Amino acid sequence: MSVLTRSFADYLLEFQSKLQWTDSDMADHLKITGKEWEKISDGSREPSLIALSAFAESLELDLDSLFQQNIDLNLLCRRWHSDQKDIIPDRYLPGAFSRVRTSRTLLDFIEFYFGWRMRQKVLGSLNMNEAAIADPERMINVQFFMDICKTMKTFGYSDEVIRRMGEFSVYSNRGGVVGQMFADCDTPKEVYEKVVPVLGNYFEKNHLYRILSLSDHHCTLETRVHEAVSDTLKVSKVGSLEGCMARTGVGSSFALYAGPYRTTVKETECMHRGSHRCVYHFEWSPIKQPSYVQ
Amino acid sequence: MLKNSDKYSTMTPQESRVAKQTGRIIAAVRKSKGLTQGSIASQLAVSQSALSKIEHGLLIPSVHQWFEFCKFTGVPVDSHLSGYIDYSRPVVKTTGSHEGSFRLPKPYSIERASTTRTMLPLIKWLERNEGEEKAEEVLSQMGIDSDYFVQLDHTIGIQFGLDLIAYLQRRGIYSKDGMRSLFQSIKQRGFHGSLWTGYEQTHDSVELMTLLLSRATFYEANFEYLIEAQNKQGVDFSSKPGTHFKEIKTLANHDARFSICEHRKAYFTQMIESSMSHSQPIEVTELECSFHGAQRCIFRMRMGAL
Repeated sequence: MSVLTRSFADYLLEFQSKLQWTDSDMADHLKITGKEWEKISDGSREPSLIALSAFAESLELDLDSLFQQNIDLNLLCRRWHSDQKDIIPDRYLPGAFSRVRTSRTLLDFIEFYFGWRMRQKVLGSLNMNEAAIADPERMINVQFFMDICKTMKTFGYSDEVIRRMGEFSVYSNRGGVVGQMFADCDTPKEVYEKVVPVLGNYFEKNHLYRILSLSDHHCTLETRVHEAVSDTLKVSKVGSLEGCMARTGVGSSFALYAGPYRTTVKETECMHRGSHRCVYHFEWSPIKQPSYVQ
Repeated sequence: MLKNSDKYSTMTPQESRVAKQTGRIIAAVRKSKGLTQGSIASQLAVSQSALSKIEHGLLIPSVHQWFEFCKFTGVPVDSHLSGYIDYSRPVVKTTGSHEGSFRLPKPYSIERASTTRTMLPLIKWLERNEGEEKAEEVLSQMGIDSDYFVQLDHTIGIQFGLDLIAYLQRRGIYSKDGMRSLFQSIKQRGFHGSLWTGYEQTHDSVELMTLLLSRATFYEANFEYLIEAQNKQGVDFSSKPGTHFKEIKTLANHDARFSICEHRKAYFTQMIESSMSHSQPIEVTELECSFHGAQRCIFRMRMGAL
């Protein structure tokens, strides 16, 4: 028994109708002849695997989403018929208190380790595209960050990979405005002192951050949900367990702005494990590298 | 709807290729998951004989059937584009003689820390020189079904690589002088799955080498790789062998020890040089060797050294 109840021929006709394409446009995108499209459009034949794969490539659609008939066609039309290729799905608009850079970090990690196809696959499965995340300062809601983490979990990646996705923050941001902010920091302690008060400006405003203790070797950080955010999103908890794992990675990467440090992190309290707050304990030590290079 | 094309008569070359790739994937996954043709056929609502034709590349599954198959088995839906299944997951070293209904002989089932993606260049060399049928026969004599290599994340003991190289040497179709040519098919992007595109985007050999090392666990977990130092001209990196090497009896043999590091050098060199669009020659040398008294191997890669 098929999990799909609708024919692909019918699905393609919806594409044609909403995008207002001619028969010839459809045949071009499917890389088939006009006669072949005629047979598909009159329902006497289903598109082939090859034709549908070509269609996905031509429109830069995620193949899995296309096969699942899970493309947000209205969003695709809005992007196609306007100059605004960067329209964000409605799902990510209410309570937009996160900078896009926070989520882009995760995608940069995915691309670095798993290739651009995987990045496209994750973006496509969420009906997002590169144009929508081009501006790192753009605001988007926390759901996008959570959905990326959740998608990777669905693909079978471990909690450790999710944490490392967050840790990649430093490599993603070192060359931009965030990196410049820490250019004169010599120690991790200076970085944490500097970053915590401005996390809301550069990363996200869903949470309130507070340093509980700070030394030359450690930082204990508390985060609580910003009440305005939970009110807007109408939820008691903001984020998710996976999202929290990625955030531990982001937090532990800060020491690297000061140089080659290895940081360990322990989350001693978590909002997603019954506490009213998350408490992270970061400890770092310098990495000494022998030099074999003359 | 199936594209029926006995003897490929009505198939275009592209259709033949896709038919062959989808068929090979379906057969490999069926064996990997220990399923029967009957159970897959029933899931896809086709007859067992139609499924058999699909597996042999004589029919192309419809979109519905392919999608159904992928959902049922968890195979990425775009696998038909490359002909390989790639989950892009790091190697988890395991010991075990079974992977679904695939069976591995004992020497290759202990401490399986190499992915099949690492072994593919050797198998392609075998196919190139002996033909596909003979290659299948050789693998069968070694006790392995060639479909095992369709999934790039399957694991196998390093002894398999050593034995295959020994076979190629015995047959006279490979000598140590031509070591690099053994890995010439490494540039087939399909072997690397989604990892490949990252390599294309690097700017020079040093960047590519460091990227490759950072992804080492997607290829093998026999060694622990660490970048020791780098500058614009090169990279020094170490590799520490896993404790399981003590169990590999053939490593008492000097040639086998020599073989592992020499082949790794050739693999790195070929990988770096063939992945670069602007083709920068490099040289990889081994400064210290864990198989010759050192605690770890230290390799030095230099650009423009040839």
